[in-house]
Amino acid sequence: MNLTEMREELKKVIRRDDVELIIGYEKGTFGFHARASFFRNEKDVERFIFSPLCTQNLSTYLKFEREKKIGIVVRGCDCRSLLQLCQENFVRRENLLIIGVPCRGVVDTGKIKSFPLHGDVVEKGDRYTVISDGKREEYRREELIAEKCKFCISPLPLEYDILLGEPSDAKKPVRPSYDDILKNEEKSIQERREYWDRAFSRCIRCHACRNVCPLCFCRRCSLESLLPQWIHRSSSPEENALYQIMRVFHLAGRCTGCEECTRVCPMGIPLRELTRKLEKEVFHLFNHLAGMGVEGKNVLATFSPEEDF
Amino acid sequence: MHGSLPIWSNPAAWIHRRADAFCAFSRIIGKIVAFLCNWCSYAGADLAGVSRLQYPPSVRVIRVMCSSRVNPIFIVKALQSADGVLLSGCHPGGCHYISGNYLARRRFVLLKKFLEYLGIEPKRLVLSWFFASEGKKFSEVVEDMVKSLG
Repeated sequence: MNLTEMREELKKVIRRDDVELIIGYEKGTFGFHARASFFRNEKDVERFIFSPLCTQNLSTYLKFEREKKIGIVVRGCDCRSLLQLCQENFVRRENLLIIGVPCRGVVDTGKIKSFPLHGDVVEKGDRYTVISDGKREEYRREELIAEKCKFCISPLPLEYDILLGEPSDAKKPVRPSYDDILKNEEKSIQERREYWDRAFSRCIRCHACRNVCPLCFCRRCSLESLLPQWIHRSSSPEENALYQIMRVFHLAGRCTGCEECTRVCPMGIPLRELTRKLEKEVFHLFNHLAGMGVEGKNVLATFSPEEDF
Repeated sequence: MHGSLPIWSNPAAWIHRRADAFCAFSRIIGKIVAFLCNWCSYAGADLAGVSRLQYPPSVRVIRVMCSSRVNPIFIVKALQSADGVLLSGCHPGGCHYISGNYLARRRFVLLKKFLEYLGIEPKRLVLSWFFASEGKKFSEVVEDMVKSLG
């Protein structure tokens, strides 16, 4: 489905009486990066785009309540966040109109060698072409694709009301695999300690990882509470480690692996290696994957007396 | 400032103070913060004392109403100043609140794996169950912990 057809489809949605707005993507300020946008009428929908540069997880923006339905454009991984939010009764499924997009993987803009502000990325077969200011750069798919896409188990949204495209457009899912953190697990305990000390000493406590996370929706957050104060205000490696342990562990069994935290981290801390590790342990110990459906319970709020650790 | 507040209003300060009590004894090895549940483990530890069983003096007990009251943050916070953390409650199946210790167990196992990945030795975290009648077991568990940490 090309862009014009997608826009036509979205216009049909926004014309409906029970839909208040659609959350989608538009071109960013300079024209290369994509950003989230809220479409309220047909004129707004003209701004809608979808390309491999649309990397944001739009379920982050569901932090308000509405009486009418909200249409939201999601790829497979974002849809899992949505379903997890529904499962936790943060939003009701009937208040959402899930507009699915079959995903072929998104581009990690950090991997582009130049620093393009204008232009676009065109996907053709297994290659990406970055067009910027008249220059063209060719990349193979593996070179440019985001890390999360290499281990994507649901390129096609698990649940959707409307699909922009054909189910066959999505790339093939892989079985759950956690090979990417093996290199960390094989290190000795001392090496791992040093590795994470180095990583956490970079943290500037900007809270970007928390703010962008679709599942971090507590109104009062223990990360900045002053009574009790769990973390000192000053940033030292030790306190930063506590910060990340608290943040990531709060997502244990809930994190759906959209890896927005990694994308937004200004200091390049490999946060995905933390969330992936927890995902792996939850999968191996409790045989649970978060966000696979609206039904179900939080894995840490359930138990089975027979299990023995 | 924290002195005038009840314990439950500021667990962070309380855990910190309990663990910081070690500062005066910096040469003590095997400092342990033990989270004991009110109904079984605390009574068990009490029994160890009443029966005059010898156990290492480097253990500091924090009484909680149930092992599932222990937020993973408590454990990590305690690890900042202590060498080891002991979490203990009623035996599986014997929880005063019916299922609290099952939930605590899931959390603890996950936290232990996670902290190991971050480079914290797994022997610093111990989960052990004992009934009110098992004062001997309490002293043995603490003894073993101090030995392995020292």
